[in-house]
Amino acid sequence: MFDLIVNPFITLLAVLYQVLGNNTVLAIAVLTVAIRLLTSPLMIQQQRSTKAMQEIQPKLKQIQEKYKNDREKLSQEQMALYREHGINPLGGCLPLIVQLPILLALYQAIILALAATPFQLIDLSGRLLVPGLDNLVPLNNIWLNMDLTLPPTTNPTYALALPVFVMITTWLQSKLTMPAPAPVEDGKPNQAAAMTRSMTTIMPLMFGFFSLSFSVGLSIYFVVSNLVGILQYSLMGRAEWGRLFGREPQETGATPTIVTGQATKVEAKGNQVKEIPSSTKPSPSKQEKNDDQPVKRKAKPKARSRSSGNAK
Amino acid sequence: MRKSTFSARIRILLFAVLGVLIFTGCVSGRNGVSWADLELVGDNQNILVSFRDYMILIDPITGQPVPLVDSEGTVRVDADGNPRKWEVQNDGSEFYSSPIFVDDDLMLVADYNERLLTVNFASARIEDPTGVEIPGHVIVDLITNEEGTILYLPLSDRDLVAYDIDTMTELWRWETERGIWADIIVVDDVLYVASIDHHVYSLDAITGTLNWQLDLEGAVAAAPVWSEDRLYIGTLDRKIFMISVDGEFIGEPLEMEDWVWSTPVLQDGLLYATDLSGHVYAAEPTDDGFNLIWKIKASDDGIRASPIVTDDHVIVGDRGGHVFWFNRDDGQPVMVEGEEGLEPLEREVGSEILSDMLVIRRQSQEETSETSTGNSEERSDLLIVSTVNNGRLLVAFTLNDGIRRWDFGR
Repeated sequence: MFDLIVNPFITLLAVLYQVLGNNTVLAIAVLTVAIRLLTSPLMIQQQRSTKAMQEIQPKLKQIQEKYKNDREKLSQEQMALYREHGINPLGGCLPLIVQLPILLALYQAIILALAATPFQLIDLSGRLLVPGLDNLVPLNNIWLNMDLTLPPTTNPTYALALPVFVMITTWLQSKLTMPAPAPVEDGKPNQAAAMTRSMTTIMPLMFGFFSLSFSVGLSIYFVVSNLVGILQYSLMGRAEWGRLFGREPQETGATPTIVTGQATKVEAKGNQVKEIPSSTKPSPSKQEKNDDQPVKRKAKPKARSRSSGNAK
Repeated sequence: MRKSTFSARIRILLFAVLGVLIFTGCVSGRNGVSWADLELVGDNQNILVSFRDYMILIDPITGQPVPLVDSEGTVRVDADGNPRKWEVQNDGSEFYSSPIFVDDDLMLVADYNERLLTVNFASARIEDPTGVEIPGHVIVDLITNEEGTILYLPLSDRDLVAYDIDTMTELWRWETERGIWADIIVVDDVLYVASIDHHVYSLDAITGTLNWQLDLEGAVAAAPVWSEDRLYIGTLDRKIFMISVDGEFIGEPLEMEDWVWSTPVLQDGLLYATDLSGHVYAAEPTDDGFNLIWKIKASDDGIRASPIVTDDHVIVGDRGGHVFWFNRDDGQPVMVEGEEGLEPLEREVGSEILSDMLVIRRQSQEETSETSTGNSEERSDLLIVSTVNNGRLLVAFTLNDGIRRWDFGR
């Protein structure tokens, strides 16, 4: 079933290889760019959805706070809020879900096309959908004296630069495209921001590890894909270049304009936190840690008694 | 805050692990480089299997490993007193080509990991586990010249290297553009080397000088075959060429439906061939090319292994793990009596067949075997099929009627 996506990619890769003078690296680069461009509407939609969700976060939190003991009402209000702002709650994930098999197929196509052993090459048979491409097989897998089918560790030493490039470009992409952190509310940490920060650290390491373990051809795909991603975000005006120099973008500036009425409270809290100098930021966290635990202990019996009351 | 950040990091880590699983899980991967290579050894026609990190000798009558015996015929035992079998295992090695005997007791075997190892056949031990370093990977059989003085080492990465077999000094090397994945052949002191760089080279076996070369416009992964002063070679560009001893194409090539990864078989003036679309062909070579006699679609799974041609049948094993018998005359399936009347003779081995199959002529073998039962049914010739699955490494059928004799797994 997955072959329905993989085989056209392999064929396209072979066609590009032929057109581009039997240059495997160029073929991988062009195919990666083409796929990234083709899936860019999905990426844009995902970005819009993520931004819109971010913008309504304060109001969403208010609703969650207000109806925390009435799940049904909470759900209704959330849906009403989404409707009001024209947001599909799955709008952020659906494009990702659609993109994932495409990216996996591209990855698999590169691995299969770069067949270097009998086992690998025989698995390539029957996958070239256009007649006349068989005489290209096996694709030339040597580039700058590196064997594209082998990991950097079994190539010349300079191949180890590729995982470094992968890590740098992954980090750059994460750093530039990371959404602006939402304001800290009620002294509570913003988990999404923490996760995003962690992503910026873990993703480059993860992809660096991939690049070190998998073939050099795959590293080229990662680097090109990251560079295209950065370019796309830049063209969309979403790349925060200032971050590279330690300048955080303005926090979700749209928040006050969208959140009205009850949102005043949220905005005020956000402002309060913003005014706290960075050197004193850990203090509220410690305070929060100390304050939270007793509150939680007290809250539990209350919640239980309420729910049992509802049940009756 | 710290707790929250920690929890976020854990989530990211889980996400990363999931990512790794998806990335690696979605890509079909196989262990190893190639499939097993089979060879018949000695008067008993024991089956020597070279696959991954081991070589093992199997008795064709019982389907069991051959016991390791000393010069007096007593079975050797290990430190625990258990009988030893003829098996060589070397951690870190990968064997995809059969060893070559350099004398009665010594074999040379190419380890894919750029080593040439010497194996003492009598003791089933590697003389020096680190071996001699060689300049590349080997996935096809080593051969020697007719006098046995020169060893030819075909490297899957690029070159064919010739060594003095006594001193292991390099005599010459022939560089191809991409490497050698097909067994090379030597005929009358001429080497025929087919490469995945699309060329076939004819070289002087002693000096390594080029006689001629031809561009076949497609990679060659299966050994050429020499018959009646003609060379027959299949390519991944879906053609089988007929080439004269002088390096001239004879007529038009035989057009195939898919990649040809099997060596054609020539018998009684006809060529039998298979391809990766699952077709089987019978064609008559002429001075103008090939006359197609018959062509059938045997399987949807593709056929890598070379066909076995007997007096009456053409037998093929496919990548889906099936063995089929066809009539040599017309390519129609051989019909046998089944549970619901006549049905095509077809057997399932349950795993992908990629290695070339073997035929064991047992009638002559039984005469020398101590385990002979004297039962005429037991003396049928055998078809040996090998799969990529270690658990079903070998399966033996009777050659003519496909009765399953034994399975060997490891």
